[in-house]
Amino acid sequence: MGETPMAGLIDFEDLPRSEMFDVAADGDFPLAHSLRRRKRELDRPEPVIAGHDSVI
Amino acid sequence: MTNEWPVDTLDVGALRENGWRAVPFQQFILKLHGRCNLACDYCYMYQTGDRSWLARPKVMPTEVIRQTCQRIAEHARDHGLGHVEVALHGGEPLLSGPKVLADVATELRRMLPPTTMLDLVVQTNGVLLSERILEVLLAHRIRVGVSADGTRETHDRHRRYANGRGSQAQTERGLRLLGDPRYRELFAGLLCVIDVDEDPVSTYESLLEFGPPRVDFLMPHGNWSAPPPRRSPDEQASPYGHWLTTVFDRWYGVTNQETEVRLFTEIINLMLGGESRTETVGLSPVALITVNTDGSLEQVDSLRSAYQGAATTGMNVSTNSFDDALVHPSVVARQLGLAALAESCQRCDIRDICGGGHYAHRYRRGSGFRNPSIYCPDLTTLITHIRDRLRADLSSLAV
Repeated sequence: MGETPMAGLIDFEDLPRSEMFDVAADGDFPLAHSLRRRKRELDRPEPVIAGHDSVI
Repeated sequence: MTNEWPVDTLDVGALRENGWRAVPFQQFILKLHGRCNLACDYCYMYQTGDRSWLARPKVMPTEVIRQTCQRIAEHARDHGLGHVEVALHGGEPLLSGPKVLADVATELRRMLPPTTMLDLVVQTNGVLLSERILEVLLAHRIRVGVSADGTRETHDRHRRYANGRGSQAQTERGLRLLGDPRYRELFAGLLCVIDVDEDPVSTYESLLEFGPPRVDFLMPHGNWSAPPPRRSPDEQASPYGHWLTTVFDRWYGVTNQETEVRLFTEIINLMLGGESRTETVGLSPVALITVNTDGSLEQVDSLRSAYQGAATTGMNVSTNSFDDALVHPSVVARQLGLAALAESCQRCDIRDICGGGHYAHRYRRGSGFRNPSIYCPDLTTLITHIRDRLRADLSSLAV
């Protein structure tokens, strides 16, 4: 994947992101799930809204 | 005359003149039934002093259902929405019976534009889940979220019938049925209200026994003027933060993920540069509206925990479109992101992750909702803990 803007709390500038996502590709640990979700969002951006916390 | 933000002081007209535009509603909370078969001690509907529910019909009448479905369809059409979520809520929505549940699903699917995908979910205490009800939910593709508070003892302490008897056995029976292979696809997840006096790992593992695809932990509603249990406004202690970090470590430290924990996954997604899909954290616009059994519109029902009438808009589906509600100051305030935060929050290092916390938890009598969360120390503890673990793990992943 190409350069991706990441503006979270963690400074990602020094991390090789593509490798990070590659490592997560086959993992079943919780962080791997989160990385895959983030990659999906980066590949197919769409507006995000916040929902009710009392609905799951 | 009060001087509270946003109801008394937010100038929506000025915002619009400066180019601000509302985000259309995409989640609709329908109060199908206005009463509950339980009397949980932390309930924001019935235990916070707001008695407005007494004046409303018990069940949403057919005409209100029809008008509500029409309004949702109108909103979807006018804004070209590709997806809407409708949550059947209460009270206890299953009290309305299988026919009402089926009617709502049928009417919605009949009226929505073919280009709008419908996600329909019922949020229940699980007590009335039976094969008969589950067959109706299956036939109408209505997913099921259940409220459950962990161990049998914790559940029975808080989630009681009016006579004081606990409801855990009935909820467990319902959850076992929901976990049956025939109905399993309907299972949306479990909501658990935190009791910091209970062991966090036991609570989490008790929920895991039902094999939920997703879990979320909710902080009990409270605010600066009516603090939640074990949370003093004057203290920097973070009992909820420590409770949640213990659950986080138990959830996070496994090789194979056992379930998704929404609060944690949303915080991680924010840290990865994404946005949050829950109102609890982050700065995403809140695009939800509540319809009561009489058709009246509320911005979000949990605001009842702040003060009587906090959620009221003065509007009704019989006379107002959802677009009318989009410009209500209290709705607008929840779509302003950073601009809605208190000054001290705006200067905070973790503001984009925390997002000021749940809106209802920011209330202070006299000033309104432009305050940090009453849970500020807890959110800080949790977020910095997750940040530290994530930072270390991402560094090692990238080697």
